[in-house]
Amino acid sequence: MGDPHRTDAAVLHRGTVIIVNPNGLHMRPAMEFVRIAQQFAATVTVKRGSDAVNGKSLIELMMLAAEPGTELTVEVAGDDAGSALPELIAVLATPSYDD
Amino acid sequence: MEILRGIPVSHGIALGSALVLDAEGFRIPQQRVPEERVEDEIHRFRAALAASADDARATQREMTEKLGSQYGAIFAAHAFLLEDPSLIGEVDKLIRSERFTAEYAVSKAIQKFAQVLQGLSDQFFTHRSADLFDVEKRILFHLLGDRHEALKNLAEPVVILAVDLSPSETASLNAAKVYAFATEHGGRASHTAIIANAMEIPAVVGLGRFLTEVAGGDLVIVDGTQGLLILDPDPPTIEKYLALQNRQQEEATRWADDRDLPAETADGLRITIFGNIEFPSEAQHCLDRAADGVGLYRTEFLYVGRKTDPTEDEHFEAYTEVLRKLGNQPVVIRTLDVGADKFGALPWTVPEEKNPYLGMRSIRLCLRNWPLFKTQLRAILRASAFGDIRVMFPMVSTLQEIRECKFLLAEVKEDLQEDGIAFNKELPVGTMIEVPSAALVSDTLAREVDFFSIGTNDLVQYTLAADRGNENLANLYTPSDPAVLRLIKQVVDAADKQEIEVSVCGEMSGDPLYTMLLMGMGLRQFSVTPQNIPEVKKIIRLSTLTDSQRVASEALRLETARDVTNYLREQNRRILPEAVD
Repeated sequence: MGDPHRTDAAVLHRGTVIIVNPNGLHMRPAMEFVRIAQQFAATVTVKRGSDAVNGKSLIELMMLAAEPGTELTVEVAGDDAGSALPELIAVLATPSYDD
Repeated sequence: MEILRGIPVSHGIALGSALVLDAEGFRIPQQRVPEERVEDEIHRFRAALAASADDARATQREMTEKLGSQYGAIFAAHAFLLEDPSLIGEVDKLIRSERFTAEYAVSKAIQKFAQVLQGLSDQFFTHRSADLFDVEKRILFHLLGDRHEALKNLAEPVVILAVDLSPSETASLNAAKVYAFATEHGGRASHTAIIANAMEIPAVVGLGRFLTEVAGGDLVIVDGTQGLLILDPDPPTIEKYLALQNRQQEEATRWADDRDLPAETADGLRITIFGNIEFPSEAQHCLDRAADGVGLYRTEFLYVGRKTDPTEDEHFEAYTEVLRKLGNQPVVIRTLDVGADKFGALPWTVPEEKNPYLGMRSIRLCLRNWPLFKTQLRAILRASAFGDIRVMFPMVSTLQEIRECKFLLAEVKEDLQEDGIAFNKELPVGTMIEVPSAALVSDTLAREVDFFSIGTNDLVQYTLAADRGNENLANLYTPSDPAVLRLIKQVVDAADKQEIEVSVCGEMSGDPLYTMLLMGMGLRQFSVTPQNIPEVKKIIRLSTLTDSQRVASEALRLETARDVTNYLREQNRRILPEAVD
């Protein structure tokens, strides 16, 4: 899995969130996350422990296999990072989706 | 390297490039492209990706409209996957660095991601691998497009790996381009087994799921003798199998040398060995092995892979082709033995049956469909003017059926006579004994026909109520079972009493394990897959009638199939110490 985190970029925004959705980071929130992430120019990295994945890749997010209770760290780097981070965190923190 | 174990159904060794037929029949034709084509492949890939993503979104809209957003969501996910930077990155990388074709690269990339997902403990995530395969299919569909080439257009020889092989798929196969078969489903008498034997190439079936572990173009090894499929073999294994392959080719030359020795026991009893064929071209295999003729010509393959019934002339051509090859030798033609379920494209389909194997098939189908049946009978009779043809009816369960068949035969003879067409008025008429009811009343049946042929495959199946294609029942389905042995003895005795000929066909007759037993029970004619003729002949030449009778009488006293098998193995080892079971 790649780690597109750029250390030479502008500002790095970071936030952590715990997955509370009883289904874990399953398809709906993952898709929503990727949809939002892809709208921004900033790079998005999602970390679980020492694993880091590209937040714009649905496959990589699935491979994180984040069950409920998992703590994830989202790192956003780039000009529009500031506005991206809160939205992304909000998706991961959502307790449930209409499934 | 992975070694998978399945059911060996056609012996031999093959090493080759895999051609993968999954449930929808996709195949990866080629593994690599030359340097200058790499950019083209990248473009092909991107184009297929875009088309697939459009498809997925269109499907999403449709599904959402029809069934709600919950169902549409799956396809939205697919559209995401199709635009996933990791997937695209991985495939691009494979194409550029390995010069893989777009198809092969996609297959490899999906395989890699799927394996990670399948390794996760959470059910939800492991199931997402199914989505990946779905996406893969979509992309491949766009890449391969209408190049859904028939299997007859293979560029280079391959090992065919599939879920299962259907008659219509293999009908268009170019035999020169196939090294071996390996399938997830199937059993000893499955279609794959029959075709592999007819083509004399190795095959292993009943391997269980493995297609996700292999990509088209991978090197694989099929060991049809031990029943193994080896994926991604390491160099020592490759060497070992190449050596084995050489040894086998040497042995084959030795068989060729022994070809003209008669099938005679050490104490002078001459046994007739016939060959089984499915296609006229196999008559050559019979000749190559010095068979005494064709003991079973399975005619259903005339019906395979077609939209209409074969005409009388097509039947006639096939039969006379065999006669031309074999000269004076007898050819026993078995009339259509198939269920409507196998050949769905024909004009006489029967509505879906709950139990096709116990249903309207074979002789029952023919007796309800006189035009169909008479066409074949007419062709057989016409061919009988050109050589020693004999006709045989399959799946006969009652005396009444035989009488009906003979009645129809008499009608066809009358018609031919009126038309002034020549035929053998004394055409020998026989019946398969494969349904237990027929075996039990074989004394009555023996008075109505000129010969019997014991169809051991189906006899075992029906007697033990075990589907011969079901890999879970592989231990139950065995010719060694005492019930089967007793029935065979009963049939042979009935034939002897009426002084009619009786032969044995099916797997049991070609398995050297049973040769002495069958001879000892009174059988003097074996009809065998040509590939197996040399081995059966060898056992016959090493044994004596006296010994065989002793073996038979002892085996008939044993109470379990396992005891019988062990006893027969022991007896074989005495005369053939290096026998492989």
